[in-house]
Amino acid sequence: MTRLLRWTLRLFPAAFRDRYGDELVELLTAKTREVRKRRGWLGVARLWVYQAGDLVRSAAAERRAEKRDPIAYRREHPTSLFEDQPLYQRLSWRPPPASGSGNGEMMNLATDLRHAARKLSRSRVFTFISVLTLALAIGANTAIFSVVNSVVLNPLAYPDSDELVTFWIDASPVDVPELPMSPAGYFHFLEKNRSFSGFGAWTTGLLALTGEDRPERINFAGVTWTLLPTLGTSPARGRFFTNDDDLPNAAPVAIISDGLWHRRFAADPGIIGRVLQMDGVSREVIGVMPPSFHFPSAETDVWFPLRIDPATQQFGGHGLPVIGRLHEGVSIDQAKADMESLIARLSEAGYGPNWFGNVLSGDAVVRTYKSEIVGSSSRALWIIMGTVGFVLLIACTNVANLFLVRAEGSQREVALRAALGAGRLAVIRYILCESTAIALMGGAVGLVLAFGGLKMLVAMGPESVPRLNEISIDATVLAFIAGISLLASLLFGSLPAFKYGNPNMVATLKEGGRSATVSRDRHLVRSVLVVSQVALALVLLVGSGLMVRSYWRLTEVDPGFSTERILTMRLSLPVATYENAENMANFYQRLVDNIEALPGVERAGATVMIPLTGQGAYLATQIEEFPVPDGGFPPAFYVRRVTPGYFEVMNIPLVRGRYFDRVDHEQRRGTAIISSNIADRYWPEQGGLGKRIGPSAALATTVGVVGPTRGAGLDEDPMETIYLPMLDSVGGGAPNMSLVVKASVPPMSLVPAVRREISQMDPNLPAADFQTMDDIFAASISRRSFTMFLLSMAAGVALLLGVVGIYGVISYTVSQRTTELGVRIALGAQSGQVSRMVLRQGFVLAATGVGIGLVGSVGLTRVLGNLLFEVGATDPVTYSAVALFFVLVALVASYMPARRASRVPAVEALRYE
Amino acid sequence: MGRRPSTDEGSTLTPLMFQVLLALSQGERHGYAIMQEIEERTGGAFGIGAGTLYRSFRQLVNAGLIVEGKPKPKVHRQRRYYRLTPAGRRRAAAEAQVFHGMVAWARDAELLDPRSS
Repeated sequence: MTRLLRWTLRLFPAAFRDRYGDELVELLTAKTREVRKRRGWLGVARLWVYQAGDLVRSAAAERRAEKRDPIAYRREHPTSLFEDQPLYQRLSWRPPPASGSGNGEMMNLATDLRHAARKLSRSRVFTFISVLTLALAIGANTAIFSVVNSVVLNPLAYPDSDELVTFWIDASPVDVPELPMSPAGYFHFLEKNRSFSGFGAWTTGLLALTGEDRPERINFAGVTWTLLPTLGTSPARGRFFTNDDDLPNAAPVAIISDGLWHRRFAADPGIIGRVLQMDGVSREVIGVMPPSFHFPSAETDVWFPLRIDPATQQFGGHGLPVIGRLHEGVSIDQAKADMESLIARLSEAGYGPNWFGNVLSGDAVVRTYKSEIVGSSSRALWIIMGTVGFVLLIACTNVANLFLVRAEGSQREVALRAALGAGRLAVIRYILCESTAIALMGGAVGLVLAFGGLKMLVAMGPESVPRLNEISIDATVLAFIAGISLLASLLFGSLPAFKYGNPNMVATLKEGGRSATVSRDRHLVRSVLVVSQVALALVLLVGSGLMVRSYWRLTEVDPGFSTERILTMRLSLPVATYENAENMANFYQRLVDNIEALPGVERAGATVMIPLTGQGAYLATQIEEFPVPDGGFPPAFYVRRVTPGYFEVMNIPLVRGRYFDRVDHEQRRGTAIISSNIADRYWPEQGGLGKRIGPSAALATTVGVVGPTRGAGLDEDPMETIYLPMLDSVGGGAPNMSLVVKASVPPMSLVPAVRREISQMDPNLPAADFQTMDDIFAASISRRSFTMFLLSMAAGVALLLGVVGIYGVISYTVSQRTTELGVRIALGAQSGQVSRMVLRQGFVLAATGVGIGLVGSVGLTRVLGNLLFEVGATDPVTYSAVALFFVLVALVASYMPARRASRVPAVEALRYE
Repeated sequence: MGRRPSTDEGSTLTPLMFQVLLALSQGERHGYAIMQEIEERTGGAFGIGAGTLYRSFRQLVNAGLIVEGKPKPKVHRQRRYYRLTPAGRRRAAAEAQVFHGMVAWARDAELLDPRSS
């Protein structure tokens, strides 16, 4: 027994043990003897239970005393604390001036805020971590919100832009849900509608601006004279188009953008009335639009009248989108009904009966111009907004956790305040003041982060996100940041406020703030916080995991062509100078030949449409062997005119037959090459060679079958394509073509040489959009990768915060349980057992959070919808991988405190009571 | 765990410390005797832990309120004797004065039967 006692004495600091150890043992032995004599063994047992507890307690207290000032402790210097003063004079606190006698509530609030600020400045680490955590989350929220605000929420930059609507004809029977107007149809709707105060049609294209300067390729919009007044923005200089400008034989005029005016004409005030050469046509400038005006895109620099003949009987060629301005008080539904009644009367405009039922469903599509522009982007943006909202929630739980720990530390202070007469409300207000101070600091830092983040977002933002140029931080965003900062402070401040707002002050003061009697309760709150953190983070991880998998799937898709070392550019030949198809075709053939002669060029070709840059012509096609039944509709295929070298440059594999050769178009032999998916569909047995097929009455004969390509987008099915040579019996020779050049050197290094080659052939011809095929490929998945990037960033931050949360709680509970753990080790628990116990705690927290998070994910990832590609919203691989990953990370996070717990020697552990 | 407030430890006389001073006011004692004396005088109202007792000794010695004598090997080689210093005596008197005032107060408040004192 003496030995056990001696061993227990090792709990005390060595100095204490040396000095009093023997005596202590002697005293307890004597006491035990005495008690045994008087009270028997039961008394001894009671004595020992009591004395054991006392030994542990006083040993811990001695350890603390030693730790506080080890040198003084060992030297046994008298401390200055014991002076010849009675007990009560030595209590160091003075009661503060009675509250309530000041200048009322505001005074108290100011005091509280001042006090909070002072206290926060004292605990720098706590403040730093909380502010940084919040700043990250608030910054991310602000950056994304300013994108959402500018792109989705802000009205378009036209006067009363909410009145602007687009109108499409529903042609779902032929799989075209939104058919633009035909010229004849445009006049029909323009004249007969009763819904619109303004109504106009437009098309876009590229033209060559030539003249004194180097030729420039420019985006233009052809508009009916009614369109610009419909949009409502007046020219900054000059005038709108008039009805006369828009007549078929009117003199050519143009309105130019402010950007072009500055860029090319140095803001020349005499610009009105100047005549510019556009695609060889002389156009007089009659107006300059203001800098804020963009239509249909920010790149459009020239507008000119479409000059459609009102007497036209053109019903096909549905290529005119229209915009209308609703009459005051007319709703979108009313406009829709109006337009549907006009669709039913299209026969008055000359439409034949076969249009109805076969092509047109009779429905109209009317929606605001804004939703037309913002379209599917708003979905992705709202998803990202929700995601960063999650991050903010997680950040708030983290800070709430920090606050809880801190509130425990300052419980005595709070209790003291309560004891000195502070009411429950005052205490809550005090805590909330602290949280508000933190949140506002976080908001301020977050605003700075948002500025930087926004710059980055816009810089890397894909062109497919509309209105990127309008993004800015405005008053709404500032209000938003203030709002979410305050909301956040309520979120993470209210928990500690209400938990500690009503302290059991007697218990707290008595307890000295060091016992752990309420810790179970505290741990529960903290654990709940961590579990919800893990659950939230898991949802985000699953979401971004699905996006990452979609992205991988997408990049693994075989596009059907190669992108390596290919330079592309676009050219458009002015019809005025080149006049006919033959001239154009010859020009392109010669240009390709010349470029192929350049050093560093392996092969060159031309095509009307580079894959992944657009859909291009999609035409109803006749197949000789499969005549269209009466009343039926012919199949539609993509039609591409190409030069012979195109297939080799793009490395589109030949399945059967042959590629084009020069003879095909020089002799207009009427040959065609089809993609293998057409061949498989119509001639699965015979291979599809020698068949008669074509978009026009003069059919072409198939001489080759090539591999299918995903030209419209990697997430689209491979296109069914008919390739035609540049010239055939019915025509060909498009003015606008793109060149593709297979290089044996870095492709962009060829640009100057190619430019030179072009200007030697035609000095007035601008070449534009020099890009590598790799760039085009990357741009085609940029929207998805943009969304994925943002989601992954958010999920990464969430993961980090979640792991920090787990680590924090586990290491906190370990430090709280050091005594218990020490006793366990002292009683013979293996260190492995102890660390397993701690790990188990971390595992339970993580597993609970993961479980809840998985259930939440099933519900929430559905919103990702069509952002996913060949990956289900409940993809089991993603779910299990993310769950496993999270649990592993959580175990690593709890491993560190577990190790610490298992390594603390029993004696050391007891220092901490 | 965090630091404890400085008012917590060492800056106040605990009841036990006060009792130790009282027990020593009548002369030299060793630890066990002090313990016995306190238990007798207080009728066992206070449990006295040995650890806490020696801890109090250390603090009182450090504060110069008591001193320890050499063990007296003839009587018992492990027993160390403690004695009150003049400062200790003054301090005990001051504390007692405070308590006396408080007891008087309690009596005035009729919490205490006057005859029992």
